[in-house]
Amino acid sequence: MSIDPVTLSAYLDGEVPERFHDEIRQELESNPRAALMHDRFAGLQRKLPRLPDERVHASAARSWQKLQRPVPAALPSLWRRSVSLPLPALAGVAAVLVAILGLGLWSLIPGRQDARDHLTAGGDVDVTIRVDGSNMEDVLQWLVDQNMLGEVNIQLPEQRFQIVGEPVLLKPDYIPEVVEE
Amino acid sequence: MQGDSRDDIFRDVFDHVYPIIFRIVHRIVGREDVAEELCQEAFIKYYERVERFPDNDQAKYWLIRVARNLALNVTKRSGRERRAYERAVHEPAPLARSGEEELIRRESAEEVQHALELLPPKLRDVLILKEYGDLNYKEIGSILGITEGNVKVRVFRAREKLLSLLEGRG
Repeated sequence: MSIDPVTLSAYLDGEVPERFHDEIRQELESNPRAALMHDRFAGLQRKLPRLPDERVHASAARSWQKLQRPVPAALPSLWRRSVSLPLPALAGVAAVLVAILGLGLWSLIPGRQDARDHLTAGGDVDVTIRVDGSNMEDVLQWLVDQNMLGEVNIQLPEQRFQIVGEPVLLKPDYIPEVVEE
Repeated sequence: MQGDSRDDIFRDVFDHVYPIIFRIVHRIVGREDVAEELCQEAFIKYYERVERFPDNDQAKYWLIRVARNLALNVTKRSGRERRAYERAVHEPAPLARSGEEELIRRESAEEVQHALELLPPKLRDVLILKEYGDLNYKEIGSILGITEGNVKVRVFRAREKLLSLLEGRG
């Protein structure tokens, strides 16, 4: 065969320049092998299953109807919108955000409690009250009135007093007899 | 194209290209309903980009590429490519033929379907675009990103391979 099979296949598809058509037709008439190959390719084209035109057109009509339906406008993506803010406003917003963040972090610090939370939870509170000796009786009476008197520790200046004996708990209405040495 | 509204251009391209991509996609996925949905999806994508194409031919090539890729993705996901091809044979029976002839013809069409499925993807792609897209070699080359010479050789090899499969030569 003088015409190669690839050219024969292209001829079937109308892809060979017209100036070669006469030569190809002569080859097909005179060369049985070339003719057989051409017929096999043409037969294959006819065998390939195809959808009928009316089904294709029907599909096109349905699709066109669907495409005509209004589509909800897509919301612009938040990330792609451009927003412009004046710098002072931006600084103010940033400061507020930092303050809120700081307060939030501070409130999350573990163990941080105010005195009321501590007392509510039944914890002990250490209170130091500095009074001179003339007011001591009034202070003790006030504590009794507030029902806040529990254990009272009196810290005495070390250079003036000597600790003798064992410490005792004193109730405000109990004054022990002075112990004679 | 200048002076035409966006909708006019869209309609023009739709009328011309829909039949082409529907046949191509149907050949790949094997189901008319799926092919219809994929074609609609391709045209929705096209509508968002109508102004970007310098002429309707470029729009056509783009739509064919998009529709083809959508169809190939579907077949990959479903993994049921063989069954989709087998369901895809639908041809009206000519009135003049006998029942036996019709049965022979239908079996023959199914054989061709099955053989088409067995082609290597590169050969099947060009043959589908040629036979169902009614595209010339230059257009197929533009869509697939290969030369006209490559298209010519691949179409020939696809036909050779298909014939050998149908004749039982593998």
